Amino acid sequence: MLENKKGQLTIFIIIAVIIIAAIIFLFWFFNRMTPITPPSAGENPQVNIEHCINSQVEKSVGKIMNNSGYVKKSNLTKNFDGKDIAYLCYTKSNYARCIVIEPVLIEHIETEIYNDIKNKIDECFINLKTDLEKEGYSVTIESGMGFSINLVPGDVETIINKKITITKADETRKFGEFKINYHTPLYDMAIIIQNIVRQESLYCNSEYTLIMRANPWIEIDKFQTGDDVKIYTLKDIKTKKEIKFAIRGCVLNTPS
Amino acid sequence: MKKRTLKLLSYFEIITLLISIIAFAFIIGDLSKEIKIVSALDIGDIIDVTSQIIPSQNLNLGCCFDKDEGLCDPNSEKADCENRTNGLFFKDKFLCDISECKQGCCILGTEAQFVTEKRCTKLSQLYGLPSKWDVSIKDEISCISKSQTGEVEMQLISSFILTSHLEGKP
Repeated sequence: MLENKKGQLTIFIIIAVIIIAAIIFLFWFFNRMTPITPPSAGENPQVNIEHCINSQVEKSVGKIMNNSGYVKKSNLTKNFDGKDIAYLCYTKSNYARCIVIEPVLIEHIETEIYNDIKNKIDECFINLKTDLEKEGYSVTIESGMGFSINLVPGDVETIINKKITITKADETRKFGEFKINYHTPLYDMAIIIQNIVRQESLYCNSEYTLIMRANPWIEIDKFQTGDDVKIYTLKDIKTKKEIKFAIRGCVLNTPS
Repeated sequence: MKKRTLKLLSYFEIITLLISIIAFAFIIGDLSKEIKIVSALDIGDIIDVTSQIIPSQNLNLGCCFDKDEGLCDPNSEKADCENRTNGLFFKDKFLCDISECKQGCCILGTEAQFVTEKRCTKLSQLYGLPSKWDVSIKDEISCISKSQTGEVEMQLISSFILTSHLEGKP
């Protein structure tokens, strides 16, 4: 009888430990799931704008990574693995070097992001104004705006020149320039893409193993299809982000 | 009473088991996202791409030099290059055999890269590091191997000491 009771007690202790562990786990889990709420617009308009712009930049960068350097799908693609991969160097002729499709690649990507987000920036400022007015601020936003997108190592940098004045009670604050950084390996990957494309257009091949040796943060995979199209896959080891692009050049005639 | 306790106990165990299953599934859920099966040869490879034609038929090819980044794009079309603010086009030089595209070893801190002189300056600006461009190193392998020996660091340090000494800096 006593032994039976001891056994029950042991089971109850085990169950109690499991329940406590489950509660701790669920607490940690929900804590992790709760999104970090940005500070209110009035507290820090810079952070509010940063949050809004970066979500737009993030979408553009995602599209660019998915579409081999384009926001919208390119017209010149190769179907591979059920996906259209854009050519960044292409010639339809055989025995000919490929022609670089997007020279000055960094500027091309900057322009792609610029065009994709230019209309959304105004929306961000309208939202900021609405949020500030809800908090009781009087807001003046000048209509003119200048903005630029710069690709730099590790970041996409958005610089917006827009004058904003916010007033509440006796306090007036003025803002003129917003410098926003979105963390992404896009620039560094674009530089490697440019290097591969340059080598392919010059030598009909690329020393991608050497490029990997010089840049240990990246994984490059080259796949040659049955019709001599090269599909390159670049993968940032740290963020797992990847870009694929296609090359068709120096193709030899296949004997029939 | 005993039966009731056992019933309660079994309910507890079932709930605990369910919670554990969900938690475990969530933890391994993150890992499974990275597992991707890639087929070696896809049927899509057989699709012909000859119907896709480059828009312009009259190609005016040459070298396109990115004057901001210091990068060279051989075999580029004039219109594509000149459409860019930073594009500088060199007609007929489709192999980029121009002085702007001459590559050398750029020693940047402890790293070394085989790039153009302009690119070396750009890298120096981007990373805020002193750079030295050495045109006497003719290939990428010799250049990269420089970064992996301590040679690079020593060269830079000694050149800085020498420059400071010549300029009379302490």
